[in-house]
Amino acid sequence: MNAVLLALLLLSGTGVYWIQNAIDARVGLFRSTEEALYLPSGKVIKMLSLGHSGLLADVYWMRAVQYYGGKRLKDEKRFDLLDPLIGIATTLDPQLIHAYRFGAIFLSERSPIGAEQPEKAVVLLKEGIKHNPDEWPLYRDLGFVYYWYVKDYRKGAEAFLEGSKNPKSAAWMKTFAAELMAKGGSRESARFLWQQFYGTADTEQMKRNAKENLLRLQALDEMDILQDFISKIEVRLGRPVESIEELVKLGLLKHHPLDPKGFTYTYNPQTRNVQLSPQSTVRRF
Amino acid sequence: MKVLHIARNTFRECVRDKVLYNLVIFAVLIIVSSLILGAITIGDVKQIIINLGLSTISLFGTLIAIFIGIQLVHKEIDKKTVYSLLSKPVARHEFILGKYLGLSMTLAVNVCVMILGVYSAILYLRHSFQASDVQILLAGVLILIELMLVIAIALLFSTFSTPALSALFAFCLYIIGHFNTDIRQYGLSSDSWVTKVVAGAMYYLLPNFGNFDIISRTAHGQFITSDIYLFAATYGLIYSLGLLFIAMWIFRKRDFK
Repeated sequence: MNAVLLALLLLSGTGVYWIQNAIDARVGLFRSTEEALYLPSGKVIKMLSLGHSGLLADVYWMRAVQYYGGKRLKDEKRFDLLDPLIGIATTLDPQLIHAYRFGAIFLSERSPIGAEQPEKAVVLLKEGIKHNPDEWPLYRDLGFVYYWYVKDYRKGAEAFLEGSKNPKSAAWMKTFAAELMAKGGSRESARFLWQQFYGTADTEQMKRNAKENLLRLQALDEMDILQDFISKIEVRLGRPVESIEELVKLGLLKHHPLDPKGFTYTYNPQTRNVQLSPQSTVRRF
Repeated sequence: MKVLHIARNTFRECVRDKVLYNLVIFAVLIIVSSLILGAITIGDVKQIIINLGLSTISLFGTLIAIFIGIQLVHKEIDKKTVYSLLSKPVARHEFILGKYLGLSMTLAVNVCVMILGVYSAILYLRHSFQASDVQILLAGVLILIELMLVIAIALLFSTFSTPALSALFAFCLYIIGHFNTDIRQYGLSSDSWVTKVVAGAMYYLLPNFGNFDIISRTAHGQFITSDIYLFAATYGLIYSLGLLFIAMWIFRKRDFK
C-alpha cells in the first residue's frame, strides 16, 4: 500500500513539474512581472494594501531588480516595465531611497546596459527629492544624471548646488557645481565625479559601476597619448603608420600597449584612429 | 478570578488547537528571507526583514484573531458546554471577558515570539543593533493592540451570528477600517451636507485601523514620537472595550433555551 502511495506521489509530482513547464513555455516565466502593466497605479495598490504598503513596495522593488537583471542576462534592449515597476514601488513607499537611486541608474544607462530613458530618471529623482528633501544623495544623483546622461550641465550644476545647501552633504558638491558651470562636460570633471562616487559608494554595485567608468576614462586618456605619439611618428617617418605592431617592430614601442582590462589597443590606418580592441571589456560609452 | 480561569482555559484550548503552529511558518519565512534576500534585491535587506516580519505578524495575527475569535462563543454553544459553565456562579460578562483575554494572551505569545524572530534575523544580518531598533518592539505592541481590536470585533459578531457570517462581517469591518481616512476625505470634499454628516459619523463610528499603520516608518528607522504610540494604543484599547461592552450586553440578553 505504502509503495503504491509513494509511486502515486512521485507520479503526481512529475506531472505537476511537467505541466508547470508546459504552462511557462506558453505564457512566459515572468508573466507576474508583466502583469504589472495592467495594474491601474501605485496609488490604487497602496489603498488596497491594508496598511502593508511597505512590504508591497519591497516586493515591487524586488520585481524591478529581477526584471532589470533578467533583461540584462538575456541581453535584451527593451525595458518597458522598468519605469512602471519602480513607479509603483516608490508610490507605495515614498521613502524607499534605494529605489530612486538605483532606479535612476537603471533608467539612465545607455542601451543595452539600461533603458536609456534619462528623462524618466530625472522625473523619478525629482519625485524622490519632493518626498525626501533631506536626502542630499538624491540631489547628487539628479545632478549626475543631468551631467552624464542628459548633458545639461547648467541643470546639473543647479542640482549639485541645491544639494550642497544640506549641511550633511559632501563638501565637493559646491565646488563641482562651479566647475561644471565653467568647464561643462570635460574629462577632468567626469573623472573627479566618478572618483567621488567611487569613494562614497554605498553598495558594491555602485562602486563597481564607478570603477568601470574610471577605467573607461583611463583608456580614453591612454588612447589620446597613443594617438598623439603615432601622429608624431608619422611626421618623422614621412608616411602613415600601418599598425601598432609596426611601431613595436621598429623599436619605437617596447611592447604592444594594453588597455586597463589587459586587451591590446588597435590602430585603424583608414580612419587613423587608435581604438579599443573588439574583444576589450572596457566600457565604450 | 473567574475571568482569569476562563482566559487560561481559552489559552490552553488555543494551544491544543495548534494555533501556535503558525510560528513554524513564520520562522521558516524569516530564515529563508534572511538568507536569500541579499541575493535577489538591491538595497537595505534589514528594512525588508522588518517590513516582512511586522506585516507577517499583523497578517497571521489578524487571521487567527478572526477565525478563532468567531469560534470562541459559538463553539461553547454548539458543544452545549455553555450550559454547564453558565449554571455555575459565572456571570455572562465574565465569560465574554475571559474568552477575550484568553485569545489575547495567545496572540501576545505569538507576537512576542515573532518579534524575537525579527530581532534574531537582524542580528544575523547586521551582527549588532541600532538605537532605532527598539521601535520594532513598540510596533509589535501596537500590532498586538490592533489584534485585540480585531478579536473584539470577531467576538462581538460571534455573540449573535453564525461563524461564517461573523467571519464575513469581521473581515468587512477590518477592510473598511483601513479605508476610514478615505471615507472622511470623501465627506469633506463633498458639497452635500448629508454626505458630510454621514461620512463624518462613519469615520468616528467605524474602527480606524490606519491609526496602527507604523510598519513602514519603523522599517525606515524613522523616529516616531511617543504620543503617536500612546494615542494609537489608547484608541485601540478604548474601542475594544466599547465593543466588549456591546458583546457582553448582547450575550446577557441572549436566550439559550
